[in-house]
Amino acid sequence: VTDCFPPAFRECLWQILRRAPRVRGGHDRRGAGRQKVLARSGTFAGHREYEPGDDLRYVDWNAYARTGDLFLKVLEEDDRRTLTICLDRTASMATGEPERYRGARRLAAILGGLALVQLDGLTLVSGPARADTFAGARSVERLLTLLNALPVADDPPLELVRAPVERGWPGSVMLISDFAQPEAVAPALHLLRRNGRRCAGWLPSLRSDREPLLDGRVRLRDPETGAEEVLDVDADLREAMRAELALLARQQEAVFAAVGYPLLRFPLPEEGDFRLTSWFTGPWTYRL
Amino acid sequence: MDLPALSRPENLLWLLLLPVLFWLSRPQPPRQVALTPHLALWLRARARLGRRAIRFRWRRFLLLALAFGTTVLALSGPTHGGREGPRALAIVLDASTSMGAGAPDSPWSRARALIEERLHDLPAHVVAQIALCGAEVRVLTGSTEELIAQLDVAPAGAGAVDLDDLVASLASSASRVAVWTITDGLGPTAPPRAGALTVLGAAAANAGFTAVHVADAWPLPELAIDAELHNFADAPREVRIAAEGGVAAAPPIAVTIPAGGTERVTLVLRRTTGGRLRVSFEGAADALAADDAVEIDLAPPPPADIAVLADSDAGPWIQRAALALARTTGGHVVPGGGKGRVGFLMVEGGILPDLGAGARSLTFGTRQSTHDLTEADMVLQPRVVDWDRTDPLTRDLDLSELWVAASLRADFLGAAHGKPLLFGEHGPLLVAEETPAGYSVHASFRLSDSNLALLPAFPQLVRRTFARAFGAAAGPRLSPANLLDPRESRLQRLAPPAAYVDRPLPEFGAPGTSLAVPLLVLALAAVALRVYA
Repeated sequence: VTDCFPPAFRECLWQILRRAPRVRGGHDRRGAGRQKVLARSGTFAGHREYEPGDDLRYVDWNAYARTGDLFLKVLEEDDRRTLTICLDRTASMATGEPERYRGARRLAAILGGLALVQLDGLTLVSGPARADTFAGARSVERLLTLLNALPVADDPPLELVRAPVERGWPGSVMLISDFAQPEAVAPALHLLRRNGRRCAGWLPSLRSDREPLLDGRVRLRDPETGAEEVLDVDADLREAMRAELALLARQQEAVFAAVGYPLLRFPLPEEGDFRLTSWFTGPWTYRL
Repeated sequence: MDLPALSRPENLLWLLLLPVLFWLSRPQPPRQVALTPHLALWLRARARLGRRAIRFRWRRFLLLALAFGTTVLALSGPTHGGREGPRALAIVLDASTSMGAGAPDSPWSRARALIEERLHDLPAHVVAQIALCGAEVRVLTGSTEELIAQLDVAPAGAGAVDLDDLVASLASSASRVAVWTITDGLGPTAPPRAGALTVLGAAAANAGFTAVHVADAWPLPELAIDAELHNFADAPREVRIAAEGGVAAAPPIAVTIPAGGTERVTLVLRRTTGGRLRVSFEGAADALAADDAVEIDLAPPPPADIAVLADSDAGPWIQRAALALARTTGGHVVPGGGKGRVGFLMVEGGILPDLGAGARSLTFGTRQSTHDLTEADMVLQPRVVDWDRTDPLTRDLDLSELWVAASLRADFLGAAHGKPLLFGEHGPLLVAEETPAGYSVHASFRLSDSNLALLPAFPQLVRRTFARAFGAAAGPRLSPANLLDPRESRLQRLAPPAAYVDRPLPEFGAPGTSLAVPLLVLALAAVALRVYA
């Protein structure tokens, strides 16, 4: 199995995580405001040991004075600020150059890492029957291990978002997918909207999503259905395909606009490009 | 329902290329495979351009195979409704001499009329050729008018062509050729056993020359002709042999030739003008005229004038020798020293610096230079040592009794370049000078200074010099075409009578309607339909 997170990416990831608390706009303002309210009025549930990366404002200095060790105050569960990431693992994700599924997992790692550093917890939904919960910056490594081992599976988007809704997991929902079939995503987004959940769609975009790059006689295969077709790709067909891709992009935008959720297109860097500027272009890159 | 006939069925082998056509009709497999979540979008884009899916299309292949198959069938020459039978006519015409027997109503003229009639009645699609079998086979081709025009020749030859072999080879080499043989079946010519046959004429009585020998004494006028005549009839025949042309008139010689026998006749003639001499015979009921005469080309007689030049010291012998030569050659003696050219020149003594190119002469003691004669230029009583016994001029002559009182040492005509024929102790006594234009013999001594004129060899020497001076190319020539093969002169049928029964020509085949054009139209239609398939 190819390592999805080579050391260069891990270095890049940690640089993003270290910068994130200082990044203006890196925090959800509503979350920050509620954090203060919750911090003053939340029910104390206990302490946990300080871990590198934890916000120092939650350190119980009195306990430090008594014991000489750093402890963080833990609030009641219902008041925790958490993030839920729903990762589309359908076979259509395992296409493109660079591979979209690999990029999606790296994006999930960054979003999840930011959630572990800035928020109270993270839930990674990778299937209808699979949800993993993480807490604390120390869990980043476990998150990477889990993501690296996640295989491709055929789960519809509706099944992915059903668990956060039915089980009442708090926090925002980040839906990472290629949204190749916008009409299949619409029911899931409507389900989230009816339950008042905040949501954002993340689309790890490739160059081939905008510009058909094929030429000559090509056998095209749909990895989900296994259907094949031979095409003679020439300039005319590329132009027609370019129009179809633009239409698909408009359909994707329309599906999210219909429920008031944003659709964020994250341009995946080339394979092997782990420069910080390629994955973190500014404070607005990742909005939790 | 009759199936179409194919004139070139070997072209059907092209149908073996159909598997190759099938292989070439398959769409080219793509060189790359790409995974995409947007296959549906690609298909929609292709549909928007109105393009069709790339896959092997059986209907298009079947239409292509149909077009290919019909084209191959068209190339195979399909016809429908034709009639089987020969499509060409080969006429084997016996052109041996016997076909001309009984002119003007000879088998040859009747054969020509038959051929002309048949050629005019031939269907337009039948090609005709004529094999003229005379001394050799000559093939005549062309249109009907051209073929008939080429038959304006006289039959000649001895029927050396084996008609049976020729007809068999023609019939076997092309099955669609009808062979029609026209012959008289006489002499060595036997009717063929295959093909159509028309036998003309009948056996007839005939006599003819079978051998001729000419003994020509040129430049002397005597001529002897030995002729051999054969009677091929069953009864004795009396004929009269006559000769005319270029010779003095001679009465005919009557000869009776026994039945089936041979008679030899000798004609002694005397040449007058030379040229074409015709020896023929006349007799009752002779069927073939071609062997009734022979023609001989005789050389014309030599120039009649013999000039004599002699100085005052010459004796009477040179004049007498000239008169004797004129008597034997039919000429006459003329005075020498004139401006005109003479046929033969005899000289004794004197000086002749230049005889002229092409001169024919016999000189005795004639000097070439004009300076004064000294004692050193003369040889007194030269001794005769020997003579050339191989040269035609002196061969078999006896010159042993020759005595010469005085001769020129070297200053005589021909001494420088002539071929020595008579040798003395001091040098040649007699030389022959031969040039491309003439021949002369020169002696270094006068006749009056020797006993040569008294020797028996002298007349021979003079006549040989005369004959040699006019060369040997003047011999008689017997025209070989006039001497017919005796087998051809025998106008009899040698094969069993059943071999001479006429056989008709088979009915000629008719070409059917060609199906090539409809098949090609069908092929084009199939190709056109592929656009919509």
